[in-house]
Amino acid sequence: MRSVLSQHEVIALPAVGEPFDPTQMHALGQKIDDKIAPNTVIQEVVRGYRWKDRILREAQVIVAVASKQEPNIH
Amino acid sequence: MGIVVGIDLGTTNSLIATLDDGQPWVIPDDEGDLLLPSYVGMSDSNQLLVGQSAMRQYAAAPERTVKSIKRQMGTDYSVTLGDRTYSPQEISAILLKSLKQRAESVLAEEITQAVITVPAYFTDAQRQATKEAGEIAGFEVLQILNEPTAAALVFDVRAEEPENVLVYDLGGGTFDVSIVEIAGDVTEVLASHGNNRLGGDDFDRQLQRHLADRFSQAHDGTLVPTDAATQARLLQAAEQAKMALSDHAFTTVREPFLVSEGDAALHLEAEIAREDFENLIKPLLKDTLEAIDRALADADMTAEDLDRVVLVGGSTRIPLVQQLVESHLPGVPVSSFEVDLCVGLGAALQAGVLAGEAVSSILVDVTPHSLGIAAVMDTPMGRMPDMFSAIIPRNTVIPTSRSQVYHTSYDYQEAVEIEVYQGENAIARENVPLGSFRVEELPPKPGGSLQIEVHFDFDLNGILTVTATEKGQGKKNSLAVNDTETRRLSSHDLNQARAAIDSLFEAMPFSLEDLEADLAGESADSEEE
Repeated sequence: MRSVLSQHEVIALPAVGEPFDPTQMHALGQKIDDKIAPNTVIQEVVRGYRWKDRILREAQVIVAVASKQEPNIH
Repeated sequence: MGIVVGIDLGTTNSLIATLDDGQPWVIPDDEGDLLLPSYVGMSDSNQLLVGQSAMRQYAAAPERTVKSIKRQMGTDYSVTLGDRTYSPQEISAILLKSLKQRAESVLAEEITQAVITVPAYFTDAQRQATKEAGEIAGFEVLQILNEPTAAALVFDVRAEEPENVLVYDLGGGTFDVSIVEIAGDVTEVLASHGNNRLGGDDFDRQLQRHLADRFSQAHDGTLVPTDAATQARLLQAAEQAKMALSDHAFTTVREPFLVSEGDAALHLEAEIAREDFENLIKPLLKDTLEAIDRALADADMTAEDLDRVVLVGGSTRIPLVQQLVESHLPGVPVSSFEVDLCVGLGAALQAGVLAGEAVSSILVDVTPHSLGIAAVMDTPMGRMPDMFSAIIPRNTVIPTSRSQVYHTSYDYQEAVEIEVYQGENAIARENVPLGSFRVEELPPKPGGSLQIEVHFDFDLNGILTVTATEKGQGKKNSLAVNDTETRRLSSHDLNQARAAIDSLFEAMPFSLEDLEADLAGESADSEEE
């Protein structure tokens, strides 16, 4: 199916590992994860698609958030 | 003379409308969307986000996204976005400015004069704050208009006789009911009641919980995980099911791979009947009916004093809402038109009136006769065959689609005959027959236990499609009728036509021929056929 889509220039939007982009992603929630930069997509719940410049459907994603940080004192 | 606009600055969504030839229309954004979600945010890279993009970001970054600012208008609440704090007026001004830009880009002209709507229950401080928001956004605010008044204006912009209109507004997150008196150009809100924490979002959450229960029942008590992603999928499925149930008596919810348990994936698949959903929301809707009574009492009125009920807000698409309001206020005509846009359209009309433009109420296409089928029905004289069961009541705005569930009437019934009629008589065959068809080879079942869903779909071209589906095995058949009548009447015309006919009857004795002669050429619909 994906090849049929790409023949018609319908392209899946990159999501996991990308910074959250409100113009083509819809956030469903946050997940605490200190190993990943905050505001990075860590889970794609629904894949998004683009056709040429137009977003057909935004990707629905979960975004990393840092655990509540204490100020670091060195 | 410059272009004037009307703005519905809502808790969940906002919109901007203007006039073309005296008729209001909503200005879309470049994507074609009419509604601007009432969200403002700051992106990770400190870029201002307004509307859709801010809404998408909300769950990822609630600390730099503002929603429902309308609830804070007139308070000294402040919110920090990026490196500064904003008052509620300023956040609202960002929404208003975005709407202004949308209008200016579509109309290619600078726009300064606007009417902005507020709930009838807003205090002076809240109204003042809304006006300030408009001014910050660069508008000259012609008027802060009550939302129910705006909605009523869509139906009667200049009623000659004073009219009392009850506006029932059930949106995504707020509910209110107001009684508006319209006398010529003067309108007044006589009473208003409501609950600013009740709306379609509550119905979605009820249905979301119901779906979670259904999932557990189907999977030996396995609970739906409470993580954000799963719950968000469930909530979206609930919202879609809710919308489908406004047009259909049943809908199937399918969420594949909702839960993975070890290697096994568990799917949600549940058929939801409109009745299940209605039972979930009925307790919430009872409160809205009490608010109607309180508003009537405050205005020192009874239902008989009302000339019209106007339904506003997306949640009034739910058939049960319409039914409950109709049966709570018997005999009062209930109207609705573009329930999401109505307030903004009315604001544009009022802006036109203030700017001295010639404006007119909306013309809508309505069904001039009730449409339904012959059925066995319970009557005061017992169960009677060949009664007329209306599925689309007269004066329903089209296009529309409605459905109703019927049952077989005797054991091992093999077929049902769907006879379609239009008219107002309780006896089916006294109405105008439009055609009939059968659904055959029904599975053998005891009488009353087999459900048949009858769906009426009436499109803008006046084509009625009737589909009957047997619920068990899905046997179905359908019929298309092309010669149903439609007519265009404003509510004002409708009242005038009624009054004209009433006065004919009150006048001197007349013969039937006279009446027919008088009515010839009139589009008015008399019930004497």
